[in-house]
Amino acid sequence: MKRTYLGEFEEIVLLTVAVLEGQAYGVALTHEIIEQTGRSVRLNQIHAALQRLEDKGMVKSEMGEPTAERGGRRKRLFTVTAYGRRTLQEIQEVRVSLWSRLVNPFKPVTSL
Amino acid sequence: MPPPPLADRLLKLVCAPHRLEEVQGDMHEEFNWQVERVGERRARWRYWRDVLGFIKLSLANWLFARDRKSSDYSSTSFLNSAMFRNYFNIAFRNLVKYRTYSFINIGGLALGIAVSLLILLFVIHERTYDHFHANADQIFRVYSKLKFGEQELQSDRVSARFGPAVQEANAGVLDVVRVATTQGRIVIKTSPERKFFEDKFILADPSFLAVFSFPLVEGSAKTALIRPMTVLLTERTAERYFGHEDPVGKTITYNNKLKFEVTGVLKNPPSNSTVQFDFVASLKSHPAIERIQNQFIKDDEVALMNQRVQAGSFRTYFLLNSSADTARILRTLPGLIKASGGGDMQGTQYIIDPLTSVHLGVNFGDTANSRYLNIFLGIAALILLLALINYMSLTTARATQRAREVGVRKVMGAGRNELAGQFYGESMLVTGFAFLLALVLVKVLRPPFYQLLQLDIDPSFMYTPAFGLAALVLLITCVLLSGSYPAVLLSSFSPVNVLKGNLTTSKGGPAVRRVFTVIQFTVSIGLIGCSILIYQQVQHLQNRKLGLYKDRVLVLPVDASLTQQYSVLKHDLRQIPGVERVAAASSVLYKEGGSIFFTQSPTTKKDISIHILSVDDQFAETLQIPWKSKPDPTRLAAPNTVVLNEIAVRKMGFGKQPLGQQLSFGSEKSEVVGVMRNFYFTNINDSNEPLALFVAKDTASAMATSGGSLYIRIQPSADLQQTVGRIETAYHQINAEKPFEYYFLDQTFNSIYKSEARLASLFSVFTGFALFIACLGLFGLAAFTAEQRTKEIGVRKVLGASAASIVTLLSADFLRLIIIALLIGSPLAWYAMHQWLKDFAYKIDIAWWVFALAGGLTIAIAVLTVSFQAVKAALINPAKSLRSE
Repeated sequence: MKRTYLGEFEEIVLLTVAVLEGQAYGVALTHEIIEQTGRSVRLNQIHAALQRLEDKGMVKSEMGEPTAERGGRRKRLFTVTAYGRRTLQEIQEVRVSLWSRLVNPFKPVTSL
Repeated sequence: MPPPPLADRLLKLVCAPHRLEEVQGDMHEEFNWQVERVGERRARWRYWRDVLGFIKLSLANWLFARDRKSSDYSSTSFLNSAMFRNYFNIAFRNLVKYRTYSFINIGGLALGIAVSLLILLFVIHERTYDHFHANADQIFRVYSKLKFGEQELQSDRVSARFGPAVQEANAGVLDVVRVATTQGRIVIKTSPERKFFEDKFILADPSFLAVFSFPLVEGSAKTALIRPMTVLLTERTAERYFGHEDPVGKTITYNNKLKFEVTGVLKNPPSNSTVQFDFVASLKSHPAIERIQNQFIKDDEVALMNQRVQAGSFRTYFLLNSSADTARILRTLPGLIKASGGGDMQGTQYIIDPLTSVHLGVNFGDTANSRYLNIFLGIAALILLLALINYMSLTTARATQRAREVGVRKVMGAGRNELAGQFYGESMLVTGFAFLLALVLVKVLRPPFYQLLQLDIDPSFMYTPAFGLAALVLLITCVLLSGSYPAVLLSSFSPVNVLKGNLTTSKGGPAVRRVFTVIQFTVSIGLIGCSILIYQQVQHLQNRKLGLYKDRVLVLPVDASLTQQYSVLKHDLRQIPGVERVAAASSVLYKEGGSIFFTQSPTTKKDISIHILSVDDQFAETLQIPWKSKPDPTRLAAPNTVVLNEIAVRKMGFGKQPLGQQLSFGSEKSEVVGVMRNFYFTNINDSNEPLALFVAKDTASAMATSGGSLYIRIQPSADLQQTVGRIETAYHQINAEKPFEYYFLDQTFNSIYKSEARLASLFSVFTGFALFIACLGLFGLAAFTAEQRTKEIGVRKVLGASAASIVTLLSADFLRLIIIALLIGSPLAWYAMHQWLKDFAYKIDIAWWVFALAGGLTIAIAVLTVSFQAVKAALINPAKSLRSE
């Protein structure tokens, strides 16, 4: 089966969902991604990406417990599905194999 | 800390309901976190930005819908891109496929909207008079009321001292502007070729530029209007006198005597300003102008130097802190008047009212009338209603054609809401088209429309926010109304019935459509009836017996500069072939208000106000005014004599013995030597009033000195244009300083009824529009009915029906509706006109035939419209219409 296409941003979101291990929901994901990548990410972008990932079957979600700081509203907690995990692995493998074929690996650049 | 509520509500609106909880939860959590991080203000900003982000997201989802698991959604959203595109397509195809209907629909609606917009433009213009001043709500003007005998006199002019005295006594008065106008016609000259009569020459305090918002294009507001003999021109005037040259520093000549230096140029006053002008001279020039009229006036007698607080000759405007100050001013006023020795007549009462209320309130001779404004607005609403009804009835009539589509959509799972949404959207589309078309129509129709109605509105008024807002409100109203009924009706079809093919025509629609048609024609018939009656009344007013001959009388104003040549001019004029008689009087009848004197009846001792007219001894014969008791030829035109009209005799209580009575006018006593029959002379909209005529000899040149007018009667057989040309030549031969300007007496008389005449032409134009729109609708409906009954007609024809009977069959239905409309419309129109006519002293009786005519006219037009379709249907070969089933 041909692998579903995964955008770069989607990949980062998917990875972060995996990293957060069951505690992944909109706000947490936003903050984590801002922290880790330094991008200015907005909530609606995360939601859009999650929606797309869910449509593609790479994450699944369930409602969590209501909390006071959300005005008693529940969170939607996302976890990576097996299909999502395999996709991530495949991407990783492709990258690793490409990197390994690099004759002349890049030197770290100190000044730009 | 709650997030911005409005943004929150917006979020709720755009977010899919099953996703709302988590999205909103996330948003709130994020918000609280941001409040701690960057503070509340910036957090709110971010919240708004994020909500907008979600709106963008849902928009994107809707327009470029990707395939989703349908279980994610409770139902197919109306805002689903594929469906949306489909709706759009179908709507567009329908518009193109049924071109005639689309044309009628959009055209009718556009016409209705355009007409309403034009009227709205006019109404808003009237209602926003003087609102353009930056401190409009702080500007007030003063006027006085005086009860004299039975009459109430009003004046908006007070003495020069009035304003400053009030300002000194009241802290709430921030500024005062005094404005003086010039009397009569003046001539301004810059060069021999550039001289014109001017009637908008005003004089004002320097504060004129600060209190009002009339911006200067050139010159400095700080120094303008301070020195005497300086003047500001409006842009249009500057161009008239100086072309493209810079007028500042140049001089203009006033009545060939005074020179004014131009110190600046003002923007033209907006058309919705009660203060209108072409020249604004400094108020300090006022004594100089006064001296032209009265050379022997002493320095301390000129109006500007008058130290009394009383009525006078200056319009006075106050800039107040707040409207509460008016009451305080009025309390201090009696003290001020007394202290200054002001001598007002007993019972004079001063009133201070806001400038913005002047135009539709006590406006001193303006044609504005707030009641007519409401009538106009009502008509605009009616026409719009007609257009909308038209749209609705045509759309629902065609519903049967869309019924299958509705059925299929329903079977495929469309809910009623989606379908309603679809048809609402379609209406929006059509209304939008119509609105755009209407805007184009407004642009095209505006000039002829306003010319017809004699309206003067700045073209730039169309681009003011007030009008923009009104147009927007109109658009929204149209969209909401036009879509409402079709959406409800079309989405209600039951799929089973529709798809079985027995969509009966009885399903709700026809009954409502019948009601629509009746409403349309009720309005049309009502409007026709009203416009006939209004036209009759205006004609009636204009053709009333005036007691004098007015048809071919040319009125030629003369002035003091003609004193020397006056007799020569009169003589020359009498020599012109075609000129029958020449007389003179002190004013142009029906155009210029005469003077009013106060006197006392010697017999009853009652106070009476009486109009004064100076005439020469030719006047009565020239205008064919009959005498009741003709004076002895030796006594007419003798000194200290006066002629009265019949009403004056009655009011004075002279009974049968008017001759020989002594009346005092000011310090002089005059003997009554003759009585004229009543003739109509005022420009006030009502019956005759008491009049005293001072008769002078034909040869006396006093008439010219005091700025009177010549009345030249032209023979009925003479060529009018040629004679006027000869009169002009004669006028120029005596080297008159003033340009040749003349009036025809019947025209000046007709202009008294300007606002009634305007109403009459407005009514006839709108009746035309209303009828046209109604007929468009009828045409569409008839076409549709004929189409629907094609089979029936085919069968009838096969069975031997004649074409005539089929035309009758198709037309009868509509005729019945129109007759019902006639029965409803006539009493309504009768009642409305009855109310309108109540205000006229001199009025027509409402005749029954007016409504018969209105009905007949409507029926004729309707039959023509319907039969066009009916005949077409009746002539179709049944073989064609029955061929396919």
